[in-house]
Amino acid sequence: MAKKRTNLSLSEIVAPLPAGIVKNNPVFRLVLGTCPTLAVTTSAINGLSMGLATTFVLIGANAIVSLLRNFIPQKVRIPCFILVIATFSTVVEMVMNYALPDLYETLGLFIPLIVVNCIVLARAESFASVNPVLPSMMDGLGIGLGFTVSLTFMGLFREFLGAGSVFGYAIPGLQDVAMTIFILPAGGFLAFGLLMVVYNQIFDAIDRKRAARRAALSAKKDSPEMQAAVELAERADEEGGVQ
Amino acid sequence: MPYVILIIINAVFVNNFILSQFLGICPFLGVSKKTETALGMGCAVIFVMGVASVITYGLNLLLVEVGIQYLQTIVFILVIASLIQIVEVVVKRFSPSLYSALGVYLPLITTNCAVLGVAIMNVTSLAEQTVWYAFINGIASGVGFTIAILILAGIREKLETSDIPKPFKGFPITLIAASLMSMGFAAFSGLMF
Amino acid sequence: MKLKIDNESVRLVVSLAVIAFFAALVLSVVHMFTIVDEEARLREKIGEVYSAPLTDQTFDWTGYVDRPDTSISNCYRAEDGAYIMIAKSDKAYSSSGIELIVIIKDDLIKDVIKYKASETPGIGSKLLEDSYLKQFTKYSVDDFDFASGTAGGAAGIDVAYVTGATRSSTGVRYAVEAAVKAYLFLEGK
Repeated sequence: MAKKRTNLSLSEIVAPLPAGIVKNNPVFRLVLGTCPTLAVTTSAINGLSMGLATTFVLIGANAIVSLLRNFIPQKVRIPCFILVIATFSTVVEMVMNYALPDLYETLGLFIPLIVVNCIVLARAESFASVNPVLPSMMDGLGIGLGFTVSLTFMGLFREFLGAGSVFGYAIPGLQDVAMTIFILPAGGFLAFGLLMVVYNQIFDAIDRKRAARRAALSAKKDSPEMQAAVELAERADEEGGVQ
Repeated sequence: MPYVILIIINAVFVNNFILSQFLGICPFLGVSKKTETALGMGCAVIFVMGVASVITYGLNLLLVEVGIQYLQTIVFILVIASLIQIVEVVVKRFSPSLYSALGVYLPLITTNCAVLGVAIMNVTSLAEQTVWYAFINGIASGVGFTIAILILAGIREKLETSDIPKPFKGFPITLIAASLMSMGFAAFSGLMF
Repeated sequence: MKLKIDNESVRLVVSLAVIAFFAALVLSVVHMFTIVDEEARLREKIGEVYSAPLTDQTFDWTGYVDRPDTSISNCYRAEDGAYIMIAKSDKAYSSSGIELIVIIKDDLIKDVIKYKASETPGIGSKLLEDSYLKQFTKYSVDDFDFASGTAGGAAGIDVAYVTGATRSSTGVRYAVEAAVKAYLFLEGK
């Protein structure tokens, strides 16, 4: 990759953003950062806060790693990345303890554990160390947002089914029939597994339809490729989400 | 002496690192495909946890003395990373077969929440703060981790030959199996001493 | 295996050292702005729940023995003679334990308030609500029969556990009892 480039187009810079939410979803696709996913999703607010804290660390760490990518030697790159990530993680910890003590208390041990969140290290290693600063920050933002959305959604799922409340507001009547199992550790695994199945079904179906349509459009008319593509599109439509 | 037993039972069963505290899930899901690799990984983790507990405990005392306790996270993770580098070199030298079996999983222990988790827990929450108890807690947590990973590896080996619906193949069925394991271990939470 | 001190090794060490230095620098700066005075926060919280001002009395804890998993992290004496103690128990959902403010005056438990705890919302969190903790305030220090206690706590106290939070319920119980024991110790009983 050339060191000096003319300005990247806006679409090139922003491209990693939506990818981080769907295609590269860290929780359901890449299956990284599973520890906080299971531990803090006992309520939607906890999931949301953890996601935002991790997003901050992601953006910051990606930015610095990208800035220093030509300075850090290959052999010690992992310890250097870890140092940078640990700095941001500790900053988050200190600011949270100072400004949002209740939240800090709730998230507890998992805030300093952001430094060993596989997601942050993986993105620093695979994206930020070989890309310029702005796309790296966008990647951090995208993956972070994907993480936040997934965590919040899972927290909502577990809180709703397990405690009968949404974002802390109890839903009348639901609290008596709530399935407590979802708030317990066992339910964390269960919710994660079930949501992963749903996620994969939805997005695999969308991917297949898109691929079929793309193949149909790019092939020539009346050629064998075109026939095959049309068949593919029809079959995808028929099957819907069932494989 | 009784307190030591309390710590061990607590770390291995009641507050099992993986099944109750959700620390160490990445290797739990990633390494548990075969019982041999799971056992190897578990032993490495036990060793790293034990040694790291002692070193980080001592360093924390030093940090508190100097008043820079906010550097705790950075210092701990650097210690753990260096420790794992050393373990890697030693294993490569003395047992190349084990080294190739563990493959990429050995350096991955660095990002294992469990090791950093036990280090931080030792300095914040152990009621009787001595190095000895920190060491016991580290080793026992590692044992709990290994037990959980071994059981899951056994289950996964059996699942390989089962007829699982396509959407559930891979991670989802593993997670559901883990959920059932967690329910089983939750029974230990009634143990009172 | 010879140790090669050459340009590359030097570069490795230098880059690590530089980054470590800047990391420590950044953290020191941020730390200066975010110092939390725990003592002040605690006093503020106590001021919210108890009106009498605090004295500066210090206490002699020599000879005091308690369970290994509970402790009294702070103890204050108010001007009206009440003992305000922060009792901490490790039996909790989160690894940092449960800390309760227990106010004992004239042999009566006047109030029990949550100070620091991180419980599962919906299960353990019920333990930290005022409605649960206030159940302890109908007891006096003499109601605690430590001699015929079980693993679940002293006899004579009828405060039910919260379903699904056995461990944390025990933690709350142990914390309150620790405060009672400390009170008895300090009062020389």
